Amino acid sequence: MAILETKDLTYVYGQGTPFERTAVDHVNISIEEGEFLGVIGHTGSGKSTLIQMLNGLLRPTSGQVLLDGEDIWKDPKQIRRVRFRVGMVFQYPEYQLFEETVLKDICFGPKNMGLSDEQAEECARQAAHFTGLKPELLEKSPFELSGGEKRRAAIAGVIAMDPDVLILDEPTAGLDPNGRDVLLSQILSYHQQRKNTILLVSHSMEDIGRTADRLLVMNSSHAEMLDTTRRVFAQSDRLESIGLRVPQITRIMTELRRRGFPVDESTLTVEEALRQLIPYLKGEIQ
Amino acid sequence: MSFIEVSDLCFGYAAESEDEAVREVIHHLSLSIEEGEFVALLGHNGSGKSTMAKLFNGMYLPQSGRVVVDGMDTADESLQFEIRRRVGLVQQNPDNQLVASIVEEDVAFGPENLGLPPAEIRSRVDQALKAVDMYEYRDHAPFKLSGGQKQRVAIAGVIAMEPKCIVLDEPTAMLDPRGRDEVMQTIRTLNREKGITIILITHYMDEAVQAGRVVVMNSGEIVTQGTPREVFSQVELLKRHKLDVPQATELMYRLRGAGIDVPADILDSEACIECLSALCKKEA
Repeated sequence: MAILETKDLTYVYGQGTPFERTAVDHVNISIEEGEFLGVIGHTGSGKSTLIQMLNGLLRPTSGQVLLDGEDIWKDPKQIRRVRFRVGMVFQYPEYQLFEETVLKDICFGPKNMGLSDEQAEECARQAAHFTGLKPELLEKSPFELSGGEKRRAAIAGVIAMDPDVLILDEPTAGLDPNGRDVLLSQILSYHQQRKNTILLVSHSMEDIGRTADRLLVMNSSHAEMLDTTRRVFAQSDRLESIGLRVPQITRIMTELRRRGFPVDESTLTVEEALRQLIPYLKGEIQ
Repeated sequence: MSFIEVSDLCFGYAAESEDEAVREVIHHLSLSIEEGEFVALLGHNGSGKSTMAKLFNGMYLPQSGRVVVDGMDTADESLQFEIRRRVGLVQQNPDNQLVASIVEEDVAFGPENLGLPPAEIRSRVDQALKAVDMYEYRDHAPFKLSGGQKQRVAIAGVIAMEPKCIVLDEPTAMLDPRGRDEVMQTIRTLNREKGITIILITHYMDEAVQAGRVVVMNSGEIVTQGTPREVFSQVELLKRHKLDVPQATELMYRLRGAGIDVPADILDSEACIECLSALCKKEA
């Protein structure tokens, strides 16, 4: 079942001015409950505008966003409720930490939702656990944490509101390779336990290849493709033509297939590649 | 003598309170960088890379040891201006580096501050914008450009100062794949055609592969350095230092682990594809 749907969703910046620009143009997509959806597109393709409409931060110029089948702007006074259900982690969220302690910072969201101090703290501790933040860090000032820990604390602040849909905009940007791996596996295991819907916006095709079930490709304000990650990455030429790439491993395997290796049309991870190549190469060499 | 000579350098950030110790982030580090080299500096978050970027042009000064740029010691404050003219710094977020409302005015900002005659400024700005392939955008507003374009304008602003060396601190971290390609292309051209020394700090292994030398840092020390082939064939060591290798290298490394005889120093997709195709042809 679709949790979020858009109907002819359109957003125009600076309408009626000489700078008028349509950032999202009649987008019709359907996001299934419980899926892990990757969102890719070049800078200026409309990704950010789209996701900000999905949680009601921007009000569409025309068209609708449906959450569980209901227009989120039906009653504009209730839009806060939508923002609690569709949580958003912005790029470089660590710049938004502000409280005296990490725990208080993570509690900020749940308290705003009207939870008691005890309940909020319970949610915060659980969220911190989900993001792999060590309990002893909770009493520290957010500014004493390392970059990676701050990032986790900021993500925990959104997870603490227990959103049904969690949107993450470039959560791994600026992290080192290990930090990237660890954070992604934590997000994946959170997704598997909580079984909620996740939207991951990323410029790293390798990260997307490892995590997403399906992929939404934005190009020039339109939804260019919405399909399984495998089928989208099988179209490397089309992706290249709109400024995107496929993961390096996908590129290697696609070319090997073209040269007659008996491998799948679309390989997303090094592990998948090894599973196919090792038996084949061993057979060939003998 | 090398263009940049770092010897026995120690650096730490000041303690926040009196009972806290100084947080030392660079420990007795020595490194020479030759004129015209393209060096990639790798290391996990907190390894001291970005601190090094600011030590190269005297934004930070050593607590002990020396950083000598083109024969000038950065600790000598009277030379600060000359040193910063020679070593330009490009940072991660292009939005924090652009100051003017028109591209060419932004690029002119540095040369204007050098007090150069207007005709000289004009020609430097034009040349710098051409060097990063942004000349046709000279009268555009920076905020309307894409991330890759903004970052190239930031690089043009540094080039217009005619530095001998450019230090880039994760210049592609916020860019989409095409923007990353554009910036890397620009960096390679500046290095090869203009002979500008490049020090590139990055978390992307496929970018580090394009350098002439890779230096890996951990906890303020150099753990290994060499050509990309030499460094990336040490998969275990890199992983131990929370780094990664390109997927092509990882694939070959693990095929070797499974007993298949492939070279350990494959760095990119093309080499990987050629090697595997050849392997099968030979056997067939």
